[in-house]
Amino acid sequence: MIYSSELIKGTLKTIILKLLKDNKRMYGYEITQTVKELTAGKIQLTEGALYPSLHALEADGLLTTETEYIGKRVRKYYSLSQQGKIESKQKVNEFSDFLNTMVYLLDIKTNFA
Amino acid sequence: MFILTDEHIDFILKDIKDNGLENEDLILNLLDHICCIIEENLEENGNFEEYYQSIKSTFYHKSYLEIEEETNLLLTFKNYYAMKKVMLFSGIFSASILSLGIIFKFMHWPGASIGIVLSLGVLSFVFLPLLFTLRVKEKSNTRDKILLVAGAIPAILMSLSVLFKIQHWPYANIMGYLTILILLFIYLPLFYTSGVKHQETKINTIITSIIIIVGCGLFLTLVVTPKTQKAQLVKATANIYRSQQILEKEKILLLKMNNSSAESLSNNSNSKIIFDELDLFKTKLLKFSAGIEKLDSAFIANKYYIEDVMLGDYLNGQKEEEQLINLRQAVLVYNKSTLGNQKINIETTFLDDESTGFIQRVPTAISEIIQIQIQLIQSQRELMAIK
Repeated sequence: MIYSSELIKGTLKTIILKLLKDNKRMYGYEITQTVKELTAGKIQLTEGALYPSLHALEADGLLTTETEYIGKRVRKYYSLSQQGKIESKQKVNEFSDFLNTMVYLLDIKTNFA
Repeated sequence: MFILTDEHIDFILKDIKDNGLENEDLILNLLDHICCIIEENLEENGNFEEYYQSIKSTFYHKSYLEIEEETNLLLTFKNYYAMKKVMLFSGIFSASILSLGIIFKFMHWPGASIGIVLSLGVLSFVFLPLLFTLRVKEKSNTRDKILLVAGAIPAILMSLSVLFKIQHWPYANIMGYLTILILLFIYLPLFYTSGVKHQETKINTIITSIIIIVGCGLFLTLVVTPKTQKAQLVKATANIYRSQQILEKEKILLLKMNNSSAESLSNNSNSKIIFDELDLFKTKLLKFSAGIEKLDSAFIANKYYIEDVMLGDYLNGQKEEEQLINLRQAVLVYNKSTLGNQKINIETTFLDDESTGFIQRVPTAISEIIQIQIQLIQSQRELMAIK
C-alpha cells in the first residue's frame, strides 16, 4: 500500500526535518531514496512536493544549504539550522501527540498497545 | 550504471528551462535529481533520451512549471495564518478608528482627521489588499479570481477616493469616477454572467446587481456635473469681480474727496500700508487660483475663473506661509494703532487664527480681502467727512 498524497502532504515537513536531524546533511534525491528505503517503498516522496517544501523550509530559516560541484552539476546539500533543530523536535512531538489522538479518535486497535 | 556526459546534462538543463522554470535554485535541484535517477537506474548502454522522457512525466501532471508554482505558493503563503490575523486585526482597527474619527468630527473634537486618515489608509493598503489576496488563494478557477480582482480594484479605489477627497489631495474625483466605471462596466457584467447561470445563485445575483446599479445611480445623482461646476465658478468669479468694481469706485470717490493729495490713503500711513499689503496678497491669490493678477471685464471671454481651491494648498511653500503670517502681523499692528470703528474686524475671516488658514478657501479669502479694503476706504471717507 502506498499512502495517498494528502496524508503525506501534512507530514512532509516533519519527515524532512527528522531525516536531516539524523543524517546531518542530505540532498534532494538522497532524501527521497532514504524515505523509500526506511518505509519499504510505502512512502514515495514526489519531486513536486519535496522541492517546494525544501525551499519553503529554507526561506523560513529552518534549513541551511551548501552547494557542491559534481562535474557540470551543482548539488545542494541541506542541513538543519539552530532553529531547525528546535522545530524538528517540536514537529515530531506534535505528530506523536496527533498520532495518539487519532488512535483514540478512530478507535484503532494497535498491535503495540 | 549510466555515465552522463556534459551534453546529456546540457540537454536536461535546456529541457527544464524550456518548460518555463526560472527559479535558479530549483532548476539546479531538479537537474541533479534527474541525473541521480538516470545514473542509478539506466543501464550502461541504455537509451538516454527515451529513459529521460519516461521519468520526466513522473515529476508532474502537466508540466515542470507546477513544481515552481507550488514553490512560489509555499513561499508566498508561508505566512498564511499570520496574514489572516493581520487582515482581521486591521479590519477591526479600521472600522473602530473610522467610527471614532467620525464621532470626533461631528463633535468638533481634535484628532478627528488623524483617525479618519489612519483608518482609511489601513483599510486601503492593509485590510482590502490582504482580504483579496487571501480570497484569491481560496478560489481555484480563473473566473472567480478575475471576478475578485475586478471587485478589489474599485473597493480600494473608492476608499482612497474618499480619503483623497477629505484631505483635498489631487485626483480624488478621477478615482471616484474610475470606481463607478469599473464597477458598472467590468465587475457587474462578470458578476452577473457568472452568477445568473446557476439556479441557486440566480436570485441573489439579480438582487446584488440591482443594488450595485442603484448604488452607483445614487452616487452619481449627488455628483455635481462639470457643466454645473463651471457655471458655479463663473458665478463666484463674477461675484468677486463685482466687489472689486465697488472697491475701485470707492477708491475714486476717496480720491475726489481728498483733492490735496494724489495718494488716496496717504493721510493715514498705517492705513495705506495695510491696504497695500492686502492688495499684494490678493494679487498672489488671484495668480494662484485664476492664473491672472487682476480680474477684468473680459474674464468670461478669456476663461479666467477663480478656482475653488483651498488656501492650505497655496500655503504649502514656506514663502507663502510667511506671507500670511506677515499679513496677520501687519493687521494686528494696524489694529493696535487705530481707534474704535477704524479697526479691521478679522473675526471669522482667513486672517483670524493661524490654524484656520488651512480650511479656508481661496475665493472666500479674496472676497474677504476686498471687503476689508472697502471698509478701510470707507473709514477714511468717514474720517474726512467728520473733518
